[in-house]
Amino acid sequence: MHSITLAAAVPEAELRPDDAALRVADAWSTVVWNDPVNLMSYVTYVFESYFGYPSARANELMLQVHHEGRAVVSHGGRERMEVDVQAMHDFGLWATLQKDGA
Amino acid sequence: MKPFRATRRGYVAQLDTPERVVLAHVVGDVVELLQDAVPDADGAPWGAIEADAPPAPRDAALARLLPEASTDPDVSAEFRRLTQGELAGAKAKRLLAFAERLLDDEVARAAATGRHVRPERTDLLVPRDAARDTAAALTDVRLVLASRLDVTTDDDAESLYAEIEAGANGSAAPDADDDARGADAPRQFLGAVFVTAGWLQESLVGAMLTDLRRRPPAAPGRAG
Repeated sequence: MHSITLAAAVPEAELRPDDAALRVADAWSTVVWNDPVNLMSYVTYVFESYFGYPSARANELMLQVHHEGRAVVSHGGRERMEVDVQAMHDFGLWATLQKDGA
Repeated sequence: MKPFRATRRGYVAQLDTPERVVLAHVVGDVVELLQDAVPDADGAPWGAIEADAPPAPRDAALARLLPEASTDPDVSAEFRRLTQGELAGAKAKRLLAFAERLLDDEVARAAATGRHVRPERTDLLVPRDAARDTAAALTDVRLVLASRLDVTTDDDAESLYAEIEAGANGSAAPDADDDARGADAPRQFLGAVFVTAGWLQESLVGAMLTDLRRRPPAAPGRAG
């Protein structure tokens, strides 16, 4: 997948949601929505294995999806976020692409 | 049925012949749903990018497998144009692989072709390199079943679990007459498959998470 070259070009840390400095430059995010079907363990597995989040952070994001109905799971440029959204759909999670501040 | 557990060869569950056949049949239905919606038109390979954005699926179950990627209709349509064929193809491929794995058993294969066989309980082996695809295929099957069962909220799912459990224990509403029970038979059947697939997935993903956390941390990143 073309994500490999992109991932190599952009240090992963710069795409993390906590990075306020980059939030302005990388104007898009990936939002994962709650659904009544996906198992909590599976959602956690997806966040850990795909995004490489530590298990505590993956669990926290999963609970946010479950209780608040949605969670922002990644930030970045639009193409990068399209890759993430497609990957979430591939896993069977419902995700949307969102322009920050929109 | 016995849940998945980690072994040296991979993840192993035990399924009875009818469980294999029923699950493979439902998996096959989901493949058909995907193939009908995103046909291999004009011999174009899976993954061909459409010239025009395909419309969002009208079928609710299919719309959940191939969901809107944005609240902005233009962004969503463009995303669909670029990715829907590839996404549907990937899902169909791994569902087929899962169905084949379920029927990769002499007795199950015979039963699937309608032959009368004595049911057996045998190992279902999912090698580690096929685990992610198998878990995702189970999710897709459950998404379609949930849609057919009108499960749209967490409460709906809770009620369904209670309903199936009550049905399985034979403690369904005692005042229900035979007709009502008859009308509910398809729902009980689909519900039972939904619960079974969830139970299988839970044990598989549990074992996968244990393995994932045991490994030294890999370079973070979107391996997919």
